[in-house]
Amino acid sequence: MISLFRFILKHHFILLFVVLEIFSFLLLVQNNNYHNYSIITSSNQITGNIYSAYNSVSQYFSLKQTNDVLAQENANYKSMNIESFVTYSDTFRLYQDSVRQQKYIYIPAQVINNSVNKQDNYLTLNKGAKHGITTDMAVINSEGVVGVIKSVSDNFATVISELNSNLKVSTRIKRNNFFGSLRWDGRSPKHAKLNDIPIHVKLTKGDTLVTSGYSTIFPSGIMVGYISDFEQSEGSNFYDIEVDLVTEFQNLSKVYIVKNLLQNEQNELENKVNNND
Amino acid sequence: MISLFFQYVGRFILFVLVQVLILNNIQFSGLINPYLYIMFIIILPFETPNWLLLFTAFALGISIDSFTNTLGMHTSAAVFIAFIRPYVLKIMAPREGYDTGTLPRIKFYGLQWFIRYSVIITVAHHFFLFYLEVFRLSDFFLTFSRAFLSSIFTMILILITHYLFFKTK
Repeated sequence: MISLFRFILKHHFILLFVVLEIFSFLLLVQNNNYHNYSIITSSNQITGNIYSAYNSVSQYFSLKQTNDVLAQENANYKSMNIESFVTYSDTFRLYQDSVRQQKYIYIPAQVINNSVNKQDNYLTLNKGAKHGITTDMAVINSEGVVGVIKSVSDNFATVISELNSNLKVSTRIKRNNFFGSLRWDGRSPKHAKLNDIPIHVKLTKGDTLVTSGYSTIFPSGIMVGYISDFEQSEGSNFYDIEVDLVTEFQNLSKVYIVKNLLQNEQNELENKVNNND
Repeated sequence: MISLFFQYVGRFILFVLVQVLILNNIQFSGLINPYLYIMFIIILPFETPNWLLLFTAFALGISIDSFTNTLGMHTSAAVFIAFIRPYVLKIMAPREGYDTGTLPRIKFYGLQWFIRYSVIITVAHHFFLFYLEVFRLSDFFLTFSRAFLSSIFTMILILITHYLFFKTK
């Protein structure tokens, strides 16, 4: 027993190093799971508050740009307003509310922390459980897709950015509706890769890509990007497609969180099918 | 002794805040990300007990990680350089050893010694960190250039910080 203690005392430096290193690797592995809840994330109160204090200052620097984007968006909505249309027909049509059910709700939020230069990038938003945010909600901005909510605290939420190798977004080609999955390859914040498009599909450079709406997270038709280049990799039945992303991740500020009101219903039904197999 | 303790605690907080609020927002083509916070480990006194060195590095790493959502990544890299620091210092020691009352700074051992010492620590940290980060991806040379360029950048920042905030004469 004494010799054991002597051994530990003699090699305490290496032993302690090994213990700490194993512990941090455990943290790393555990934290890499796609949707697990971890205690220390930046939605945690202290880091969240520091970030939002910092952001309340740094916001002013991009104020002009933010205003331009908002003005542009207002203009879009104004042009959709009923007053911007001239009535062509004299017949009235009455829409019954029972025909439509609201599926998506949009909640505005402010990005208070963001990165683009890691392999797995995350964002922090200033909205949390208090504002009705839960995990698995889509995050978009006026340009296009941004990410998916990963975890929430009372006042903050962390988002898996589209610039994260763990996130796959179901994407379709707007022109012919073929769909594949979009994944970031960790090289540049402006480009990503689209997989699973079979080689018999005819592609052209500049094809528009939008979300497919097949997952319960993103609504259909949110802008993703354009095909900038494609090639047929040898021995594969699928294209290797390079995508220009439309979202400017380097200056994200205002985003919208999309709540899918029918998400649970669809997931339950789909799980039932999967379980029966 | 107590004032020295608070001095280092203050530096610890300052390094973490500068890292997460300023340096993590520097984005050169998504390639380069300097990690100045390791300077805190580099400039710790020679007499720091080894176990304290490891625990300090652990605390430093986990503070950075909790801000960047990369739990475990900076922690393991920081613990790693804390582990190699005593060996690096042993190899780099001048013939008569380190004098008591001196610190690992330019003022005591000269610019050349300091650069050699911090380059080893920085490069070890950056390569450990960047290869850990890409773990699943196979872009060996891309990661290599990221680690290499970021190391250069971090070194420049360490020297600038040293000249600005510590006496060199």
